[in-house]
Amino acid sequence: MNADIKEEKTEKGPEHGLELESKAGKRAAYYLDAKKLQKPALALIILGLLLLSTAFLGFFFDESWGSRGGGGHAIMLPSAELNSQSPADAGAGANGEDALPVYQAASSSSQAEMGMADSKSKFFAVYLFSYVFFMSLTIGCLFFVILQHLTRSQWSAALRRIPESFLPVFPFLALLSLPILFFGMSSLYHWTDAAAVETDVLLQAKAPYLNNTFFYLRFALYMLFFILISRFYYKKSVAQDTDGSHKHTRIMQKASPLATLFFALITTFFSLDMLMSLDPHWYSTIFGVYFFAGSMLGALSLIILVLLVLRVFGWLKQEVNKEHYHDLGKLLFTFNLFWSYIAFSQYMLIWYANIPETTLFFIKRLNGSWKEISILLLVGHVFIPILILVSRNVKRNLGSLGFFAFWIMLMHALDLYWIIMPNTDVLDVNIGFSDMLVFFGMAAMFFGVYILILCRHAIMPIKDPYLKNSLDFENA
Amino acid sequence: MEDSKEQIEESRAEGKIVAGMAASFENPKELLGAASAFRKAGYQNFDTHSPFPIHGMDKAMDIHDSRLGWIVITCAILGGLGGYALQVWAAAAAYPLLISGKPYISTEAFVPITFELIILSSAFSVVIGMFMLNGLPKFSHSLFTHTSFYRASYDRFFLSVAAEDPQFDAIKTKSLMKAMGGEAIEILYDQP
Repeated sequence: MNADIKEEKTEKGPEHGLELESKAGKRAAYYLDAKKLQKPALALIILGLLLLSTAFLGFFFDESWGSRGGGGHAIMLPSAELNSQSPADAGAGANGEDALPVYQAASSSSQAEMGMADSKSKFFAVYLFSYVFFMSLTIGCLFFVILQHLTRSQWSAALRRIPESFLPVFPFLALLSLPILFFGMSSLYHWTDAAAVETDVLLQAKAPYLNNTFFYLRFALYMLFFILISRFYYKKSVAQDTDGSHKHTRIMQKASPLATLFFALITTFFSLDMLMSLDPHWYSTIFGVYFFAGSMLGALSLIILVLLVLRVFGWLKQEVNKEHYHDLGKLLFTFNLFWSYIAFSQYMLIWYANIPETTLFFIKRLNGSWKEISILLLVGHVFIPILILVSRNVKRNLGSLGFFAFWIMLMHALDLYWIIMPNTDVLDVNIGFSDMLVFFGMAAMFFGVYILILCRHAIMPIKDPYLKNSLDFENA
Repeated sequence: MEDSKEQIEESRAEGKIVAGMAASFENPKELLGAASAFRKAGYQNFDTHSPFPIHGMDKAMDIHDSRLGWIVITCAILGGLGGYALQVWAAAAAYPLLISGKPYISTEAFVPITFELIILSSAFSVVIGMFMLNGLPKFSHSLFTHTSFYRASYDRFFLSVAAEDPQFDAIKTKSLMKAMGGEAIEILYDQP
């Protein structure tokens, strides 16, 4: 197949692809009913907006929203209380004290403002979590598409449109980042506080990188590159649907090494800026890879789940069969192993070196009810999927594969929650109804936009030169 | 038809050990048809030989998943436990050294070696288990007494039935092979 593409310099060639267009009856089988789905999709987006704005108003005008439950927030705690929560052993105690300047800044303001600042920071933390979660899914989908072109994969042609249709969501996600950039910076990122930087040697040393101007500039660059790369891959693939030219496949394959390089840099720095700088004293050199591994897991689960949902409604039943699901399952298993490897590498080096700035990250997460979440991540994100997904039969059974895709997506969300939230809910996990509003509001908008995109073209790249091989694909 | 039976009886009298029967086929499609015909006729101990893997052959021959996976996972668990135990013994019992104030038995520090031993023992058990299950290496095999079996490595597709198969019958097996398009049907002998 590949040789065909290279030799063929002219632009024509539907005879090499699958001649679906000629069979008028079959053609409809790859187009969702736009008229029927447009209204529910728009309704989803409006519902999402409503949920988000309800949560937003609730957090800003009703102080009780943010500070419900007994756990409370660290910025409200006097320093002695935080100390007493530290474990008895000497190393951790010292780290607990080290952590104090981070939270003391807020406790200097008056009590009335406190409740406000508190629920505000809680809102933005949950907002950031939801935002980064959906961003990570889209980032993973982008890499999945690039990877297929990089390796010239043929098996995936039949299902490539599913992740591809997530790519145009990037501009929408860029819009969703605006509330964080305009209102949330001071409540999320401690390093934006000039008074805190003045008394903090580490933050002063990091100031050339961690300052507002450079942050905004970098963020704009990330969004620009994400949108440009994703637009390129989306437009080319959709254009092939109409003209069937093999030129598109060739260009996408040629661009893939460069796209991979840019993708790696952008994703790494995106995760450093959005997540690692939440705790500006902390650093981990493997963090970018850790975020990337989680994103791929989220994206693979998402692809499997979207395919299964389409299958329930009778779409792509013949085209995407057990063999393709088996391969997606293999990737899911491998990336889960990869994530575990990276997560453990990050933990072990910090545990071994025992340097106060770095251990603080784990000490926070091994205290209070965060400890249970950490153990849940270890068991649910590492042991259970690896031990069970290793079986070929589990990956080939659509029911069990769907369950594990859902489970791993849940674990990926929990992993991001575990990274972001302990900076706000320092002592205890504190999930309330209002947090759900933010998350599900964003989810509704995300999938609403996705459905609108999916309606615009075929749900399978119908003139991809590899499609025939993909449909006939069989695992040896 | 009768000649194959006579031939077998004759060779038995001579002291040769009959191992089975093999036939060659023109193309993979014929071989697939022959394989499913033999499975339907109730044969269990038969095999196919081709220059390249044929899609659908597993189904035609009704081959189930290999037992190798179970061997490997057993070895992997044993290897992992062994690796962990080795480190516990070395770090806590044989040579207890205090390293940067960590406990003697620090699971975190033992994970990499445990993990690598899981990988190592799985890799070894895959290779060794594969050889044990398929009976390799062998110095000789009855299939090589077939005069044209060498063509199985380039342009012919072979089907062989072992004499141990309860369905094996000199006349019936030969006629079934012939009916499915088999050529060069020969009796196989165990080489002394």
